[in-house]
Amino acid sequence: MKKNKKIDTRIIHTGSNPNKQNGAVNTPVYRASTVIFPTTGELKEALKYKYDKTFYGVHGTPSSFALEEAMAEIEGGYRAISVSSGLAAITTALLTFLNSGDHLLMVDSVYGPTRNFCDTVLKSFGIETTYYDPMAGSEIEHLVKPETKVIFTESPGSYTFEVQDIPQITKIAREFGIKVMMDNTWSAGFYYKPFNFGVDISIQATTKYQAGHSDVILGHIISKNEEDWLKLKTMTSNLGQAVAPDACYLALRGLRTLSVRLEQHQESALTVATWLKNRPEVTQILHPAFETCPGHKIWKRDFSGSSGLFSFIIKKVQSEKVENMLNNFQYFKMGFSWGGFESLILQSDPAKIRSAMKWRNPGLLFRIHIGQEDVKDLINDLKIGFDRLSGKE
Amino acid sequence: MKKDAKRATKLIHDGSHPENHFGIINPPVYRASTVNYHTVENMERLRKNPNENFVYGRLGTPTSKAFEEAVASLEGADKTIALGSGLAAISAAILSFVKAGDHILVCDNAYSPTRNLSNQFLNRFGIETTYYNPLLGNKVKDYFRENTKLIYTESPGSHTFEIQDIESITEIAHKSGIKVVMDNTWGAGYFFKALDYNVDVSIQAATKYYVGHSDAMAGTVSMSGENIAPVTDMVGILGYNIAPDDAYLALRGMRTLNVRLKRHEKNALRIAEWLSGRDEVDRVLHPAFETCPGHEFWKRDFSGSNGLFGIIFKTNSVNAINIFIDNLELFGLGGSWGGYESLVLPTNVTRTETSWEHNHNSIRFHVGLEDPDDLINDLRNSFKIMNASI
Repeated sequence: MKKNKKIDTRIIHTGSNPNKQNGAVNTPVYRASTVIFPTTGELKEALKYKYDKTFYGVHGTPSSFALEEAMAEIEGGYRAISVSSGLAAITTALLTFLNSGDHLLMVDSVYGPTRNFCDTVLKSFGIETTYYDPMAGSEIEHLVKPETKVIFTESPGSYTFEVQDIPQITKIAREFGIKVMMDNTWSAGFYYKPFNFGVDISIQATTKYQAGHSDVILGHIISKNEEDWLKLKTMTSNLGQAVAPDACYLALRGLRTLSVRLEQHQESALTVATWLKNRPEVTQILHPAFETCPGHKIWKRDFSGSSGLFSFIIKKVQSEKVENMLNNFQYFKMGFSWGGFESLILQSDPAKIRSAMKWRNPGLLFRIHIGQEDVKDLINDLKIGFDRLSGKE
Repeated sequence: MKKDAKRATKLIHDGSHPENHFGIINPPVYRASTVNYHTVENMERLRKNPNENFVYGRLGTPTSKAFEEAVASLEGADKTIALGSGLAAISAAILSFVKAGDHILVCDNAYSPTRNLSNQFLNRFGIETTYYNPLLGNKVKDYFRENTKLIYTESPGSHTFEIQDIESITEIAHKSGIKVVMDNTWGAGYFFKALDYNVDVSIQAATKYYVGHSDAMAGTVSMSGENIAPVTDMVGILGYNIAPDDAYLALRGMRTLNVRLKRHEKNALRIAEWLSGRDEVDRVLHPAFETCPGHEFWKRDFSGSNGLFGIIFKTNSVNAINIFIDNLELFGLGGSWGGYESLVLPTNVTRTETSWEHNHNSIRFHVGLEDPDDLINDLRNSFKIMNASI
């Protein structure tokens, strides 16, 4: 694909090579362990390129290579590596660049399982984690130690939606020779290009918007340069992190409609968030495109759009009423993850999670994912839910 | 799903039963032949209603039922049956209503494998076919015979895009007890509700927009009331069915049907508009354009248009048109349509009742989800190379 093509065109054609697959538009599902080498000479030659061509199932097949090409294309990175989940992408990337005795700066708004990994596995390996305020820009410098090797960012946070000042952080990191990693899942690599802002490693929970149908668990690590890619790929292979070809196929299939889906998620989420903002029950909208969201100005400066995931806070009410609201939605189902075609809702209490900063908002926080249903049906569902909350229904 | 839910909402939730599948949103891929009945009593109970219960893999699994449920809801049908291809759906629907000695009417612009089915298969079993001009409307009555049992329609035609007056046809047909079967693939059950116009069986080549990713073959027949039994029985007799992986992919495709079709429509209208202003183009055959035969019926009956349309070149040079096609970078050369990607195909159709004199200088486009600016640049570049060759 020529580099001058627009993003929508590249999403349709990247990772597709009909000339190499009997004319079929889509790359087949290769289920492979053994790869056959016709001669000893070719086997010897293949050893030199074991990450570039089919060598052994664990290193990848044309099914995973096609998806990796597309993931790198969207993010604008050098190359991508497929791993079996978004969390595996995070843990593998951290394990690649941290050694015993090292120090990690981790954003306080980070995804819970990332925090759990730091507090258990990394701790037991002698790696110290310091959590920092997601609104810290260049002040992060005060937390840097001689042993600091990685600054991990996630912007916006997936429950509390603080948008981080990535350029300020990467500037400091560069001065100290620290790697900056970013969990870029919220923007799907579509609305935010981390490499343009100095990030070294971008991480996608491909499970979310790329797969987009709540039917795949998959993650990607995308690096800016070849050197980091080789380190990451070597670590992935050493850990035996293989991916299922069916998962890669479904993720690439999902990726073909990333743009059309995101357009709808964005539009409907903005409509719903605007509607929520005007409800008497709601005290704050945590949606990066809204001024009430911490870091909104940074979102405005650095992002080209917004996805379907945001939170809102309501005045405190009795938990039975909240349960009555949540249990009886017709379209907003309760469940983890997000990025699928359907709408979801979850209640969360950040006060129980934060360690660097106290969460002081006394209201109740709900995170919603706005799916591709008709937005009028969604608003009606929420409206009836609020009636249950106030005891009207 | 509430009946009053809007189209986009139905497409997201129909066929999804987390309560039956451990809370999981999508149905699992059931690969089944044998179904274990546990007890003789239970076996007898299940077999009393083999098409509603799960009794044998060929008759359906929760995977195929989920897809069928979503299609039935979109088409507004009481029942949908999924089959292995669009052509399988066509043959099953026709065979459900005819026997030796019968006569059927087929529109002259029907998909060519349908024509093959009539000319090379039905005729061997004593079923005679007469082709009719797709623009006849209720004058199709002039072709009725005592033994006419079925009218087969396709609107618009998938190469020449004539739109039929379906309402007039079903009205006149039903007065004579004739069934009307429609290939509704272009309307996708989304832009055209065939059953609302009293079509008896609506057919989808689900391969196209439902699957939507050029990666599965599938077809559906959708019907209500008295039409359910004959079609269900015939599918069972023929042993037609759909593979679970294909049913899964088709339902997965339907989840994005709304967002995809909106973009296909927008892109195709933009490109058709651009093409209509080009010197090289004689005529655009797009149902939303006045230059398309039957445009008034599209305007009356359809709620939108998709990504598939044709053009007729001014030039008569096959060589020049081949140069145009071969130099396109983003439009792949291939049959079928409805996937995310753009395609082009030279027109090569057979007509026996009406005349069509543009096989040599007409092509069909499927406009994909790419950025339309890139597609237009691609077309512009190919026109340039073509013009230089003349």
